Amino acid sequence: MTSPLCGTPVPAVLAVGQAGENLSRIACLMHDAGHSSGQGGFGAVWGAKQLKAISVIGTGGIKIHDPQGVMRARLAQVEGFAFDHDGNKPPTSSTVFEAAPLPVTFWGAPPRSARPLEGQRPVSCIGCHAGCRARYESGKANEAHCVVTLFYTEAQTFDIQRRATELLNTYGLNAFEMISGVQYLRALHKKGLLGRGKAIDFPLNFDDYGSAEFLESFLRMMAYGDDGNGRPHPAGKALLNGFVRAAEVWGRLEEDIRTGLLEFPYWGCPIHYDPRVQLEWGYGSILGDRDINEHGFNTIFWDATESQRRGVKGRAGVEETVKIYTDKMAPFQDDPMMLDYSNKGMYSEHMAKLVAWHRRYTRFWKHALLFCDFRWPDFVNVNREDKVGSTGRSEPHFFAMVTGKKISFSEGIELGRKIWNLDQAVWTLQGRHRDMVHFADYIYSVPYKDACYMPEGWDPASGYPTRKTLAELGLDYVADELSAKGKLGKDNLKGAA
Amino acid sequence: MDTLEKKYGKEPGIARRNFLKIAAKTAAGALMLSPGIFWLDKATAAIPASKGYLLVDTKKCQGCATCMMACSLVHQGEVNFSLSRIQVLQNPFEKWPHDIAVSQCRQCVTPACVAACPEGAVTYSAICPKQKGESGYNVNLRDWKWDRCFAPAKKKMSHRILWFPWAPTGECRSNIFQEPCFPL
Repeated sequence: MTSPLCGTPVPAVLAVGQAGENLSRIACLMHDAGHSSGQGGFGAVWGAKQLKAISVIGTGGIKIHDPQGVMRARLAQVEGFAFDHDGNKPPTSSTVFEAAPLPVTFWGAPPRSARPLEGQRPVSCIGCHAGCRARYESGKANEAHCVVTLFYTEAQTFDIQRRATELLNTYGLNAFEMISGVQYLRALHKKGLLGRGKAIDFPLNFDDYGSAEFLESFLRMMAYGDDGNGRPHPAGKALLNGFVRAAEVWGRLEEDIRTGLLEFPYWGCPIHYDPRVQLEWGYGSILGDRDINEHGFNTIFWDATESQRRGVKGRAGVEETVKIYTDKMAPFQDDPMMLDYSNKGMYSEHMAKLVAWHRRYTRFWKHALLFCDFRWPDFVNVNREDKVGSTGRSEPHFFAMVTGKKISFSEGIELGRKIWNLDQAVWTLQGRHRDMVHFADYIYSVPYKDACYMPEGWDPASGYPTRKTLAELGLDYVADELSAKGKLGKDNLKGAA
Repeated sequence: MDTLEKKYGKEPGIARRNFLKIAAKTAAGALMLSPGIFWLDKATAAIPASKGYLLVDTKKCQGCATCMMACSLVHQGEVNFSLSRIQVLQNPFEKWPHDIAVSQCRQCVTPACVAACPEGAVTYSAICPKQKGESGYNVNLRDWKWDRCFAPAKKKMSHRILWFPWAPTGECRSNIFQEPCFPL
């Protein structure tokens, strides 16, 4: 840290840990104490290039079209929609705009049952009004956030679990993979298939699970690809490629992905929310290329679950919630059945519209403009008398103040649709076909239907984008390229399920 | 129109660029209409020295740097941490509360950093907290260091610190604001 009185800010550093150095496919890119880019194995990509870190420092700035407008918009947004420090309303969900500045940690079993009783501050990302991480008086697991605190919940002590969190970030291991993966190993051990001298020889003793010793050895094993103590071991080598590929090496992939012993429901990614419950999350993930990790509708799930568990009222009533959400979901607004998450609704054309809207909103307003996933979209906001949040109004206003370009919220959604179609075209050129787009077998009792292709205007037989759809979006050149490769969808969509 | 629109306006206000043009024209007439701003010469505007103190409660600070963005935004028309008169320096691996250090100026007429702080960590006071017997503030009272580091030639104007990160020597320099800030 440089002098607080006379110096320059510290550099921003993106780095890989030992997992990346050893080319683990579940290695993250790490920034600061707890920011991680986990999916995709980018840590191993850097490791393969022998790139340890990139450090950036500079004096550059970003020109703003209307600084006064930005300031006014910011002050109004915080005063009108953010958590009211002076009010008496208790904090609500952590993934809403009016969330309180509280660290989102789930240490302990059950989750949240263990919290550090020591001095701490909430820590936010740049410009956020409600920090969701924390730094602690002990400095242990600084900036740990959300899922990384769910690893090793059966630790013998709280300190050991915090150490587990800290080590994941230090080694740069993907927490989601580790949570699902270690449970898979434990299940195999319980079945008598994995352990010392078993069919799958494993160097660690699962009777010690929960101890600091097991933790240290296991994480070294995962980061270094050995036995956890510096000696080569086939299990460590297999796990360096992630749990799905390890299962394949052990000859168990087909069976365990079918039974759900290996809970990796889409694209080899570990489960986040069950796709049968958080439907737009599941569909969005298989239509895309990863666990989407987008919480825009997740608040409904938590609000319903937590209010029932605690016997209190939710943030808004059912009809109220549905109306507020769907009123803002142009161009599909005014269809309340989009939020029908029932067994019937899960296969409906209404649900398909929800999935389409979510893909479009996030592709533009979140991915392109970087509105925070935990704070946006702002649908229901309990700080407002009518509980109507700022989404639809605030996003384009901030965009206009910063850039000088005036686009409507709907135009942004349409731009998101264009990006989403470009993605689909790229995946198509890379070899994707409709037949590949499905969950792991354990998810299904009813085969996946084609409804999600209909609002997109894609060919439900192949999943390929069609010329008509691409032309609507000004992407004729994309249609030409797909056509040249024989991968243009058929425009006649009749007969689709 | 709701109360927020009344207070902050629905439509964008005068763009920064336009505002400066207007200000420059006014300066050409050797008369500044905006209260509290005067011109040293045709190119240099100044704000009267503040008699107050900008107080930072570092334990409330969440490190969002909104104050830094607001400061550079209203004074320079861009988001640029290096141009901010308030500097929040952080070490994410350090133990609380030593993970954050704040270096602030001596408060402008309309401190955007105070208005923008979502945690109420930045406030201002006409009286030095130490004189009031308050403690807990990270009040930057070490002006004698500024003499050496920032403002050897303009000690009397050191209430307004402008840090030039591009200074050829790499050292910090001081100056009064060369641009007025707009009312919030």
